[in-house]
Amino acid sequence: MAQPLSPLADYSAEQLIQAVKHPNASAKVLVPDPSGFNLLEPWPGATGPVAGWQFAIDIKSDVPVTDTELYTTLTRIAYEPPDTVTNVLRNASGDFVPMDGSWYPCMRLWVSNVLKSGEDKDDVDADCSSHLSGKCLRDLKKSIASGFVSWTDKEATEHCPRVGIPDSCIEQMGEIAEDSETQIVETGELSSRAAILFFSLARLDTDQIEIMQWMN
Amino acid sequence: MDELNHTPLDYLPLQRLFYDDKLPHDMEDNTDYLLALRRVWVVGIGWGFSNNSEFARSTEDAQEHLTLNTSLACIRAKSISPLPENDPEGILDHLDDGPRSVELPVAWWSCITFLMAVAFAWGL
Repeated sequence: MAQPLSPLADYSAEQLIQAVKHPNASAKVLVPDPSGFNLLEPWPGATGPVAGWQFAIDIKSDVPVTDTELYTTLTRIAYEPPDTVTNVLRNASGDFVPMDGSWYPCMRLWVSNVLKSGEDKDDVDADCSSHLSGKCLRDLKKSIASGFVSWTDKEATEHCPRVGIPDSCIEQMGEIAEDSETQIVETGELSSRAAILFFSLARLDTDQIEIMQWMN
Repeated sequence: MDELNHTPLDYLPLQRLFYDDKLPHDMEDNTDYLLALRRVWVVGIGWGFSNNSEFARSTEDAQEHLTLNTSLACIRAKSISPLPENDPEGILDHLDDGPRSVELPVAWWSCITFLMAVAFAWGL
């Protein structure tokens, strides 16, 4: 497969953030329980889960690719603290939250080319119940947890390992290639304390799932 | 909050960008944007402990005592600005409730042409 053009590699973090600042499409959903935690407290958090964390999505079309006359589509997904704790958790730029060093959040995005909404624009439930079976949801959560389980193994080298899609999800989400490569672009334009990481994916076949591993 | 008290690894980035590298395309081709609009994105997060945590250091058999919280959410973006006019795969028909703006002039001209034809026929 030919080496793809990568706007993520060609642009700085600031340019990418600027590119999606005025999106063509957008949405927010409340994260189902446990919504989130107060990351300033040592793991597992003295006060328990903190409600109100959200996932936000912004899609920007026709972003020009450097040195070409071609364009691409960028999708940004942001994990947003609740308003009630935003002033506590967010830094000045709003792009990062400080956290106690005892935490290790492992985040994943499953991009399915099979899982699509119908003609009804409001047919997506935040808890995925309208699209995924209960067993699939349980197995997806287990797949995230498995990384942390292995972390208790002294010989484990990955904290948030890449995992395949559970068998129970294949019918609804499609097949998956477990060895999809991730590309990490770390910009040097921000301060080292606020280094931002962008991840992109090698393209898989149309009906395959792509996984983005958010943190190594 | 004093940010100077935190080291680089103590920050959780809140934003991620995704792009599909099949995407570089001509300006007129909005297929992938329209597909992105229909896509249901599944996002998951596990709230785990670091190997630097007191828990990991002090618990010999941490696996048996592990209490990990995980969350999953599905999200779909909704158009907040006029959709691109080009629709090579007909996807727009499923996303738009009403007629596209470019279709309206065509419909009006068709109606006017029809009325003129009727009037002309009656005139004969």
